[in-house]
Amino acid sequence: MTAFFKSFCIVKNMIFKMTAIIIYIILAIGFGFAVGFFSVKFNHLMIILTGRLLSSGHATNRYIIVGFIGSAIVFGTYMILEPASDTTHGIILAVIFGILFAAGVLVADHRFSQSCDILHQIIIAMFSDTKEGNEKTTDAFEISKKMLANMPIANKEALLLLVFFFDSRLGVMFSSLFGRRLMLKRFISMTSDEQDWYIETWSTAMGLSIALRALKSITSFAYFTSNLTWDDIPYNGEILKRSYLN
Amino acid sequence: MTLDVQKNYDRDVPYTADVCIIGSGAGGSVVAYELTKQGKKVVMLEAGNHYTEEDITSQTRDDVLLNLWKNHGIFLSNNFSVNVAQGQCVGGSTMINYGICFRFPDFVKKIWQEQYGVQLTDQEIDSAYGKAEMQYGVTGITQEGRSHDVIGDGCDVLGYSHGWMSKALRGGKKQNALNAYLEKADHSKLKIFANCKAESIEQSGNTMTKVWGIATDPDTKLKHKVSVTAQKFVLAAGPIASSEFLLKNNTANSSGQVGKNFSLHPSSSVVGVFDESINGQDSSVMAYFCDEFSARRHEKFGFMIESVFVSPSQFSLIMPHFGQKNLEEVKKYHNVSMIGVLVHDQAVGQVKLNHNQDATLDYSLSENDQKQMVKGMQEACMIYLRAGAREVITGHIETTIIKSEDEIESKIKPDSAGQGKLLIASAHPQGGNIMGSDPAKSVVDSYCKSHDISNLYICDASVFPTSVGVNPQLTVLMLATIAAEHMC
Repeated sequence: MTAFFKSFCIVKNMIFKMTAIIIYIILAIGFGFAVGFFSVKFNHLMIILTGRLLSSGHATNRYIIVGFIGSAIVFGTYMILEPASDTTHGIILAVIFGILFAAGVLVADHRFSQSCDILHQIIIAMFSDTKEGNEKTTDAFEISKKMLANMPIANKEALLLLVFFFDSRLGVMFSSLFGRRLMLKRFISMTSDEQDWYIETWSTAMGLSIALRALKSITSFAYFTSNLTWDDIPYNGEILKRSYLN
Repeated sequence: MTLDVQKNYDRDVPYTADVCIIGSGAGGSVVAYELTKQGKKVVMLEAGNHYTEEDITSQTRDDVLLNLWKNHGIFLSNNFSVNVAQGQCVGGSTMINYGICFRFPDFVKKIWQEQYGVQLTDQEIDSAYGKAEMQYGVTGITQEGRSHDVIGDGCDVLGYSHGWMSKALRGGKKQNALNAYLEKADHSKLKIFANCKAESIEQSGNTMTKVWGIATDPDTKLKHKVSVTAQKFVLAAGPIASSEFLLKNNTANSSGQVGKNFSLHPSSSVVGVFDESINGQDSSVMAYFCDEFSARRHEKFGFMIESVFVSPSQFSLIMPHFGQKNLEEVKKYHNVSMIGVLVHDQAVGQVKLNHNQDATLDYSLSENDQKQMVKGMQEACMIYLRAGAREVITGHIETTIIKSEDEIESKIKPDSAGQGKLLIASAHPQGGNIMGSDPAKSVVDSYCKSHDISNLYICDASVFPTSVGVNPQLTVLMLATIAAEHMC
């Protein structure tokens, strides 16, 4: 009986220990990914609010530092909560956190790499009544791509992350704080009225209005640079050429 | 013999000349013209491409013309508050500006001479201005359309000083550094490497011996080295690129002043909407000014009010709203006149290098410049309303529409030119490598010669000790004319 009880206690302890380890691993995975993912988002938000792109590559170095500090905190926390446990477990958890942190950063960055396509969607949403857009919005997008390709890299990254944030659910949720209306859709999925509300919110919110102007500086500029839009104004296309010549 | 411009590259190029000029804008072109006339063999390194008049007239799309601008016209200050537009092609910014020419105000000359020890005499300055005006075809214009002369109507009612601008025109054709100087230089003595950005130098003691450029073939995108050995070097790449070049090579900077004292004539827009048809698209881009509040008339830095009728793409940025609603506003294009308020700013900016060794710009309007901007925008509104405008729209971030004089002060508040409140653009970067008599406080002497490097001259607006308060290209031509004479 005693042997059985001892065995039962050993198994129970092992199960508890295993459960605890699994919980710790799940926590490390979850926190690692979330911290990595939201570090990128938070960095974008800070850049938009402060109007400063502190380094090219939107802060790769900072992500590495945050990743290391996060891993160290995970290790330290584990050793404090489980002082009797093996140091190796703590190291493994820290490594898992670090790997998932990196994965979170990469996933957020991958989304960021789609900013150019999002820009196209924003141009369509602003200047067309259909989801597919038309030849004017397609041409405007081609022009905006050329502009992005030619502008200084820091300016380009700042504009793209602005595009990314403007369209994101996080951006929409953040704007809800100013607009007193809860919205969880992406900009490109909103109805025309919702888009008007969203733009109005940005244009009146401190810190966001200048960002909105920056966005306009690429969308509207590209749209009206396209000669396909000139008949609507109507404009004969002579101003720029004449300024070079006479 | 045609101008010898190399645009394509399939191998590295070593080259030897008497003089190597970096940049082919206003300053560099004057020097090239003057020195080739005197028999010197001159080579120019130009980061941008070469476009002939035919290249420009054959285009049907505005976005192709954006290729003439550096970074397609986008260079934002570090806090995103100002965009600085610069040309980048053979001919530099003179290819994309509107040919407007002013001599600098006497008050500015006095400051340069008294506070910075600039030793140029009045006679030297007048003579060089005269020479540049002759070569550049500077002509007073008299009638350029309703979009411009409504400003005269408003100024008349208010009793403000105003008039038509002078412009670089010859035979009805706008003059630029390419057609007025480079095409008239001795072509047998001049070689231009286009698409070639000067990057590094070789120096022996206080003498520069060689410059390396990186040439990018526009078709293959392959890069090749161009190395130029010369006796004299002239840096004329414009205030931002010239400062970048010196900072990157850590040269000519014993004073620590390279990149500092940067100004840019911050400008913002005011649009007057009229009931009558103005039809500005059939007139010139710039033609009229009001100098009532400028250093041309008072011994203080103030502002100029200048007419500037821009294309719909730029116009759309000033007008309110987004998307389809913005389009409705842009349709007012034929009933509007536009003003640029150009502030004679203090030199508070600085060109720095980022981690990639590219130039970045620290710039914010000083408190006094903000006051001048606010006053300038208020006066511009007043001019339009007195000229009969139905409404006036300003370039503020928060949509600002003024319909009566009573609304001007309440809608354009004293703090409305602060960070993030106003769309500000610049086409007049100045300073960064200022001239002066004290080597500890300046980068070049009165003849644009480096205090540190015995065979280096800087001939662009970067040598201006202060901003000039008027369109600066004629002053660049003037200083380069004097420098070229001094080099011989």
